[in-house]
Amino acid sequence: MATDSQGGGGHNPLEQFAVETWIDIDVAGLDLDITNSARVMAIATAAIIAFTMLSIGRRSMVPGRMQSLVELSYEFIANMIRDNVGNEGRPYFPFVFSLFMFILFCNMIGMLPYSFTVTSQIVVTFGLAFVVFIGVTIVGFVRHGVGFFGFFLPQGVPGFLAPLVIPIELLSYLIRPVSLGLRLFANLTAGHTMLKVFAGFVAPLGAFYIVPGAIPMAAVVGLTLLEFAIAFLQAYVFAVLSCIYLHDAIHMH
Amino acid sequence: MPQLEFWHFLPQFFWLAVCFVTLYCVMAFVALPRIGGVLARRKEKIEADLDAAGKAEAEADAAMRAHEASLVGAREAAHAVLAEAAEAGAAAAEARRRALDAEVAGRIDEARRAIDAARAEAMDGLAGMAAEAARAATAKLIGAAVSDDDLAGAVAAAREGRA
Repeated sequence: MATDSQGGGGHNPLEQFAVETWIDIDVAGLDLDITNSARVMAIATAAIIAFTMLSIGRRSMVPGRMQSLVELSYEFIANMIRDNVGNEGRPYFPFVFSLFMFILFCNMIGMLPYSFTVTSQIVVTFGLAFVVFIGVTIVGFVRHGVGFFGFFLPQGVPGFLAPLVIPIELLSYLIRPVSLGLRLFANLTAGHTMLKVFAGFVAPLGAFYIVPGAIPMAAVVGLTLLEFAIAFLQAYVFAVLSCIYLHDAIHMH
Repeated sequence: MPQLEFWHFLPQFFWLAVCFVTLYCVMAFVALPRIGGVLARRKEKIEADLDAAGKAEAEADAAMRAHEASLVGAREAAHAVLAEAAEAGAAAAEARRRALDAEVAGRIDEARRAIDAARAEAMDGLAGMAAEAARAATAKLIGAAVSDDDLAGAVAAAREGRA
């Protein structure tokens, strides 16, 4: 529950998404403040590096608990790429792995009370989505050259339909990063807002009488479980969609 | 909506880029090759162990087959030795039986010959005794002396007649 530091009921449920400057940095007139959001991103990055490096540190033949977990994530993403992209997807494995882990850790850190949900920041989700979009487009052009434009006119479409099909395909291609970024942003924002709204009911209603206070409390507990599922699921969806876009760029449909 | 405040777009994006590039570099060049190495090493080890196990099994099978074959061979050899011994024994027994038969037959022949000789001798003696008895009888009865030739002829005639 990304409860902001002010805490307590009665506050605006959107306040938890407020970005605040932590360390003020200006470089050549550019505002590069380290905000609470940047701080959590750094923590997530450090946590992923620690998770992957420390638990594999001993490189045991028979893995311990943490090593199993790391190996599980490795194979999870490796299988995802194998299934969705094929063997040509091998070089993009580190990217998809980093992407999945980054979103997953940011989502999970966002579930901690008093922390901050980075993935509810539209800049962050769109930033990641555009990295995927631009990267995939570059892969497509590097692989197929100008032939990648053929992507917008699927084979077997009669010529007279081209003026209709090409704009549709182009639009659906260009809308991808928007839907990708917006999906993550909307899911996380909506979930955390809802948690905050219901949590805001608990204290006032509970002060009035115990039973009406228990109802939103139960809802908060249920929603928290749901949010954990969504935190994983959205990271998975983001990674899978990136894989599917990669597949399109490599195999042209 | 605080997410749409424009001022934090640049700093957030900058630090996102820094974090993500750092993460990507560490994952791509250090962490993932390590994990992949561990997984590959384990896979190799498991395959090698399975290979070794398969080989050992094949060896055990071969040893088992060899053992069974030698068992069958030994049984056959034993049967052969047994049959040979039985044959040899039977042959020896037969030979001894034959030798004994021959000996017994020889002794029977010898005994029969001895009996024949004894009988012939007895018969000869009987003829002489009969002649003597006849001489003595005739001398006592009629007081006549009968010559040896007549006696012998009479005894021979009597034997002939009886025979």
